[in-house]
Amino acid sequence: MTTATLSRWDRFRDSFLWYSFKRDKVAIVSFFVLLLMVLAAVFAPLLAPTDPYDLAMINIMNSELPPVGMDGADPAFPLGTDAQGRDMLSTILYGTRVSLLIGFGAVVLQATLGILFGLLAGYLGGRVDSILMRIADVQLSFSTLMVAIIVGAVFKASFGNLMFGEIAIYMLIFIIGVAEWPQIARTVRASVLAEKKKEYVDAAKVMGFRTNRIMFRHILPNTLSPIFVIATVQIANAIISEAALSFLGLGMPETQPSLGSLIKSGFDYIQSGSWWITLIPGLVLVVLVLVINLLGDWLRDVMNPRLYKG
Amino acid sequence: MTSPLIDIRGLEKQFDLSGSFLEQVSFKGGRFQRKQEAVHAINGVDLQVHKGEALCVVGESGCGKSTVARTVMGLLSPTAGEVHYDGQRIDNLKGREVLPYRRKMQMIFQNPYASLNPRMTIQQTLEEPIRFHRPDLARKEVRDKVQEVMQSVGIDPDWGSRFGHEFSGGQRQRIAIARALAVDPEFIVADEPISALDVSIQAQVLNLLMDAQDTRNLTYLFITHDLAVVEHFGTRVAVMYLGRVCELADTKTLFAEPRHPYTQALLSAIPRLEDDRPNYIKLQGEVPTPVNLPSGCVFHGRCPYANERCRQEVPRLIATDSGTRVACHAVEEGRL
Amino acid sequence: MKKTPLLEVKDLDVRFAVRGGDLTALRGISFSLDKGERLGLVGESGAGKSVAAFSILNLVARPGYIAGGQILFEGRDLAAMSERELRKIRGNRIAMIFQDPMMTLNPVLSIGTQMVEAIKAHRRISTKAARDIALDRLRKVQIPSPEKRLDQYPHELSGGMRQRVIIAVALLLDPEIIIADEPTTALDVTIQAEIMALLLELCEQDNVALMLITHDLGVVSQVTQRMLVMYSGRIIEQGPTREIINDAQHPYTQGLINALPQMGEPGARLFQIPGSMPSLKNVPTGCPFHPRCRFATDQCRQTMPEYVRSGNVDVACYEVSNLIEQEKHMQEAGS
Repeated sequence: MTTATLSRWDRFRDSFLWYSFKRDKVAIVSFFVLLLMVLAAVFAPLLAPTDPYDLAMINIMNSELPPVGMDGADPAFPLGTDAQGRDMLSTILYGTRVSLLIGFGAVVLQATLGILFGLLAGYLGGRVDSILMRIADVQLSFSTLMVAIIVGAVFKASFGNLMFGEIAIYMLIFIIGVAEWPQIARTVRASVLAEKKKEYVDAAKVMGFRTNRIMFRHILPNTLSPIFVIATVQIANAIISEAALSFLGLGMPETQPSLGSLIKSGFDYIQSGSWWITLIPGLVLVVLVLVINLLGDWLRDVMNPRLYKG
Repeated sequence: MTSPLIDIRGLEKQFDLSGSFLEQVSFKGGRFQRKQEAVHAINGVDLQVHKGEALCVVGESGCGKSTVARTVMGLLSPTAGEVHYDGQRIDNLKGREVLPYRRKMQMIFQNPYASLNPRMTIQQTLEEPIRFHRPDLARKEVRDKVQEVMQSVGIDPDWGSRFGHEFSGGQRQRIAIARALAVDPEFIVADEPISALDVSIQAQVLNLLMDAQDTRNLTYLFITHDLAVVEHFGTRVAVMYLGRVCELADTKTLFAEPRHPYTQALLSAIPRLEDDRPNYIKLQGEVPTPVNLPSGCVFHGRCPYANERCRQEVPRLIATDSGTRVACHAVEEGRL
Repeated sequence: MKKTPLLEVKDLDVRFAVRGGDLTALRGISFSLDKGERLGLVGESGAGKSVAAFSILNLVARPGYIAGGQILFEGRDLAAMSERELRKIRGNRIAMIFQDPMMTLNPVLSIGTQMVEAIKAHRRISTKAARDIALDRLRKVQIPSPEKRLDQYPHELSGGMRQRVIIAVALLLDPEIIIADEPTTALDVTIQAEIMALLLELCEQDNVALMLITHDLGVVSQVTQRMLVMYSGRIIEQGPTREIINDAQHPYTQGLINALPQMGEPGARLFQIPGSMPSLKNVPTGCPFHPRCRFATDQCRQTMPEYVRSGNVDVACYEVSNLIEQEKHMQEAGS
């Protein structure tokens, strides 16, 4: 053992995580594709040639122009335009932004609820555990989409279309977040049950630390690895859920399109030959979900304690 | 005689096995029956630990020695009986009332690989208890304290920013000892502190515990299954079998003149370096489960001296001439 | 003429292929085992004693591999043998007992089924005959009501009983060698004593060679005739058990014996070896023990000591070899 203290960066470079990342081509490619998409989405206002939210910039005469390389294409619209004459590239950039925002937002909500309830159920046990986990069971026995459709329909009916458009993004985050927390709660509970038997928890109890401190400072950090894996996959799931809801007309309105509502809006025009309006955002969605899932798979392999022998 | 530091009176602990009400009910022979089962881990233990001594509790797995340790530390609450610290009953204290005793009483655990929080550095692990119990100390004083305690267990204070997994088992156990010592306790419960360690490391840790006892005036309750360690470390020994104390004596007396048949068998089973063959008193049968305790003396099923009285009547600890206290009818009646 | 030993391990090297290169787990291990001999393999965790046991049966799990040397069993090299030939030897001629009985026993099959299966894997006999053999072996290990045990499942037995069953399984095919890897570590002292006595008795009765891997010097002294002491993948001392226990030559062996609480004066500080065994990742140069050794010189730090003979004991230590040299000089000067 060397006496020099390692910096965090050295520690990371020495870690199994970094080692297996370097060696896994799929993980590297996925990571960079995702990074590219996230950056493109974050900087969409700077990158996009037009602002799809600005009605003044849209010219209906430009509608349904094909992507560059096809007959009748306009080089100002590299990926063509949709039925309303919006630039597809810009709408996709903005749409990815909305989809990612909903994905991350929903997972942050899921994780917050899941971790809190999972910790409480696992650590306190007894009646708290029974009640929380039964709620989770009930919640899981409904499909996410079904709940979302009902809640979405109720929202839409009670707020009206215009108001709904404004709160749609928060509503989607809320619906998807609330519908999926039991996944994370169950995982957290399972790791808490394993962790709380370990002696460092007894040592903390013997020190006289309060329950909250033991739960959040001592146990929680040790349950994070599996949560990390699930959260990654859940982002992809949330994006898909959002796309599905939008496709059913219960998600983002067309004025602030997500990838899902873009697909939906183009779907009507497939028959008329304007396939790109649906297909391109569809491809973007597939790639986005795929790379997130691939990264999630890689993370799961790395963090699986049975395989982990660093 | 001065009053004991720790006084354990009539301690009993049962663990419920049968679960919730619904799981207890079964349908048998055309009738619903309610069945409740419990593990009788401790069945009436009285022990005193005196200031400055090391009381060793020995026994085989399932004898309840660890349960005694955990009940004394308040990690488990007793089913019956009391635990007193320096004359004050502590097993029923609530909330903030316990805190002063948390500082005075500390514990060292068996598994050094599980007793350090894997996500905390050594510095954090050691600082947290000091900050918690001594909010009056300034940052610098806390650091000095951590340095001092690390040095005293033989861990380089420069290693504070490392995590537990970067250390060997022996070093981790030193760190765990440092954590217990950090709050300046008077009394330490050590639950099999060396049984997970290698032979050469065991000696290091035992020496460390003995040094700490000298310099800090500590009192130990030392739980172990290893009689050779007891002979070396203990002031007094309590031998436990199936949740009861069967013999309690000064270490020297116990090893020179074991009275209880179980103690004799246990002593004979230690593999000694000078032996050329395994050389031991063979016991009949196996340790009964603590779910269905035998009637009378818990040892009677395996005891070569058992008679009708042993099967019926629970023996009490009685003092003998040598000062040893034994729970055995045969010894009491002079048959042994 | 010296008769050939039953098992002879020559210059065995075992390495683990891990990221950042190979780790040497065993370095130049050489020893032999005669028919009916009981050999103890002593060392602390990380010394390589379990790897040594596994490599004898060519069972080192990947990423480990045998990098060099020979394992001669009745003159045939197990290290160079095909998997098919090895299977004929494993469990049949050389049996193994593990620390955890559940490594051998399948929890979902009855004990009888497993024993019959083990026999039929090596012999073409009827189930009835195999069952009789199984019953006989269970009697041999003194299990009460053996007929009943055949139909029981492993979880229905206590730890001590399970370990007896494991011994019975090891004995099924009348092996020449039993390798027992920490067979009693998980058991209580009284049961440990019973199991060790049983193992010893059975080996003596049938003239079976026993290789006992343990960290407990007391057990080694009770059961074995010869012993090897391993440190950091190397045998540092080997010879007759009594001779080593009574008068260990290597400073590590001395330290190990003196560190035992039964060797110390009650209440006094124990003898302690400073530091701990190096991990395979950074084995020191020269003698691997030198950072913990109170006799270490520059010679120890630079080169690995060769084995020298002192009495009937082979030791790898410069301190010992220098002492022997000195004695020789004194004698020569005297005569």
